Amino acid sequence: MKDFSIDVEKATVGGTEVVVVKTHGSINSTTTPALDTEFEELIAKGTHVIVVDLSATDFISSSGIGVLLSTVNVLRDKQGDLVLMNAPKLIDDILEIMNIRNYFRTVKNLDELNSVTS
Amino acid sequence: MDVLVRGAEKIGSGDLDARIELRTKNEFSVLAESVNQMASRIAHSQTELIAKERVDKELEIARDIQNTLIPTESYKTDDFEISFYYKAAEEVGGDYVDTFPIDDRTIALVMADVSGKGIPGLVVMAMLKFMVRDLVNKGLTPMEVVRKLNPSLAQNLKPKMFVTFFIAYLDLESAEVTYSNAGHNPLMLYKRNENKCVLFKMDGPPLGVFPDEVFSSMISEYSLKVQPGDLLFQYTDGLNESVNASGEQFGYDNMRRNGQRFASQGAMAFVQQMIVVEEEFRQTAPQQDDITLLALSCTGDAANLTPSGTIPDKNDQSVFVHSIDFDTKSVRIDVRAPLSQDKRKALERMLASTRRHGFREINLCHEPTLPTQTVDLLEEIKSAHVGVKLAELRDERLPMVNDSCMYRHSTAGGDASSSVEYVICLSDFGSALDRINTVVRLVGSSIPLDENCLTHLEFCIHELVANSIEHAAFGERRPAIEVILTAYSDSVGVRYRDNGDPFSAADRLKVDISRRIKDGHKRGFGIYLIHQFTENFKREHDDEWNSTMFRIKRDSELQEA
Repeated sequence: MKDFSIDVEKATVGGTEVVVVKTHGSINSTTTPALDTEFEELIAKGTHVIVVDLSATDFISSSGIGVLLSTVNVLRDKQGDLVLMNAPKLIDDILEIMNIRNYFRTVKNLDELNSVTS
Repeated sequence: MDVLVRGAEKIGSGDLDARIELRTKNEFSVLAESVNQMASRIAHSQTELIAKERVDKELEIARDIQNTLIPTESYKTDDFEISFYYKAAEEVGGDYVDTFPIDDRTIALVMADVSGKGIPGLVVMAMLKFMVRDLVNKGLTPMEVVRKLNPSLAQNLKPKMFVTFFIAYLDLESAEVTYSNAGHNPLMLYKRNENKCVLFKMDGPPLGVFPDEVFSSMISEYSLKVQPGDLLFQYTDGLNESVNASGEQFGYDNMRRNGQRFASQGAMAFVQQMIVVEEEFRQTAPQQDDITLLALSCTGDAANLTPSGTIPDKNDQSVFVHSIDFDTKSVRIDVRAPLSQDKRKALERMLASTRRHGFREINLCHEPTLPTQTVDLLEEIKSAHVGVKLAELRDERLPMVNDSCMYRHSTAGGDASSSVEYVICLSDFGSALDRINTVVRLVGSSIPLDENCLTHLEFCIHELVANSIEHAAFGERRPAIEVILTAYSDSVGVRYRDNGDPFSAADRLKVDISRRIKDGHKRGFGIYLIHQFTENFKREHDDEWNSTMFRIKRDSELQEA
C-alpha cells in the first residue's frame, strides 16, 4: 500500500481560479484528518472551487466520503463548489445508496471542468 | 514420581529425618537428592535454631534455600533476552520462577506463587519445580502441564493452601509464545509498534482449589507472537499489591506506565528498573510480600523471525493465497490441483495484483504430484511475471502468516457450494487499516470475485475494522479481529467479529442520511452503508465476540479485468 499524500496545485479554468487537490494512496479514518485540515486551510485562505483529483487514490472509506460531503456543503454555502475528478466507481455506488446520486459535479479532466463552468 | 511426591510431603509436614529413596538413576534421583539435601539442611538449621533460639536465623536459612531454587542468571540468544528479579520480603514466601530449554527451539518460562509462607511454602515450591520440569520434558503443552499439576498438587497441599501458576513456551524460531495459567496475574505485553503495554487476563483458577474435572474445564491455552522490540512481563502480586505509607497500591496503572518507559531497554534492565520504581513508590513502608519478576524481550530483527501457520487441507481448492508477509513483502500462493480455466485466470490476476500492492516476492508453490502439463503451465506463468519463484511444496514450515495481519486458509462446512473459508486475523491495530484492504484484495481475487463484488467487500470490511478500532473497548483483553469469508456460487459470505465490549449500532442503521449531511456530520455512515450494500445483514454479540454477518452478491461470470 502506498503512503498517503496530498498535492495541491493552483489552476485557472475559464477565468476562475481553482485549486486542484490530488490525493495519493488510501483515504481512510487514519488519513482523513489530514485531508480535512487541508480543505479547511484552503477555504480559510478564500478558495472557492476545489477540484479533488482521485486518479491516484486506491481507496476511500466512509470517513473520506463524509469529509467530501461536508466540504462541498461549506463551499456551496459560499457560492463555491467541490468537484470530483476521476472518481472511482465506489464513490458513485456509495452516493447512489445514500440517495444522493449526482450530488457532486464530476469531471474526467480540467478541460471538462472548463466547459462546465463557462 | 509418587515416591518423590510422598517423600517431599513427609518432609514438608515436618519430618525432617525422612529421606526419599529412589532405586533408579535418572533425573528423578537427582531431584530426590536435591530434596533430601534440602531436608537435611533444614534439619540441620532447625537444630541450630533450637540451640541458638533465634527465630530470624530460620528466615535467613529458608531464604538461602529459596535462593538456590530461583535462577539468578539472565538468558540470552541473538533474538531474545530473558531476565528475572527476586526480592524477598521480611517473611519468606513461596514465590517461584524458572526457565529452562525444552529442545533446540523452545524455552519454558514458569512462574508461581504458593500461598503458604515459611518452610511449608518452600517445600511445595521445590516439589512444584521438579513436577513442572518432569511434565514439560514429557512433551506436554502448557495447558496440559497446568491440568496435570492440579491433581498432583491437590493431594499434597495443606487445607486452605493454593498455588497460582503461569507457564509459557517460547518458540525461538517463530517468536510465538504459547501459555496457560492457573489463577496467576494478568500477563503484560509491551508492543513496540503501538508503544503501549497491554494486560492479558487469562482464565483458570489457582491450583489445588477445585476438583480435577471442574478445574480442567476452566483452563485454556493462549498464544501470541512477539515482534522485535516487544517485551513480555510476568510478576507475582508482591509488585502490583505493594502498598506505600499512604495506603495506596502500586497497581496495574503504575505497572503499565513504567512498563512503557523501560521496555525498550531489554529484559534485564527492565526488571531492575521496575524494582527501583516499586521502591521509590513504597519509600519507607515495609515490603509485605516477595516480589518476583520475569521479563522476556525480543531483540532480534524481523527478518529472522518468520512465523509458521496451519497447512490447509489437501482437498481444498486448487489455488489459494497461502500467506501474506507484509514485513518481507512476500506472498506465497499454493497450487494443489490441476488448474481450471477460471483458476488460471484468477492466478494471473492475483500475480498482477500482488505486484500492484508492492509485493516484491511471489512464491508459487505447487504439489510435486501435479501433472506435467500443469507444471509446464506454471513455468509459463512464472516466466511471464517478474519476481515470481516456482517451487515444489516440500517444506511445510515455509515462511507464512504475519501476526499483525494473519491470513489462514481452511475448509468449511455448511451450505457453501465452494467449501472454502478464508480466515483473516488482525491483532496489530496500528497497521490493520493499511493492511486489511490488501489482504481482502488478494484473497478475494483468489476466490475469484468480480471487481464490483471485490470493491464492495473491501469497503465493508474496511468500515468494520475502522469501527472496531475506534469504538470497541477491549479492557484487559488482547484485541482481536477475525474475518471469515465463505465463497458461495452467487455471493460471498462475511462473518466479521471483534472481542471488544458489546457495541450496538442499531441506531446507525436508521440514520437519516440527508439530515446528517445537512447537519455537517462527517462520520457515522459506515454501518449504514454496509447494511445498504449487503444482504442478510445481521449483528449479534455474546460474552466474547461482537459479530456482524452479511453477504455480498457476486457475479458468477467473471469479467476480464
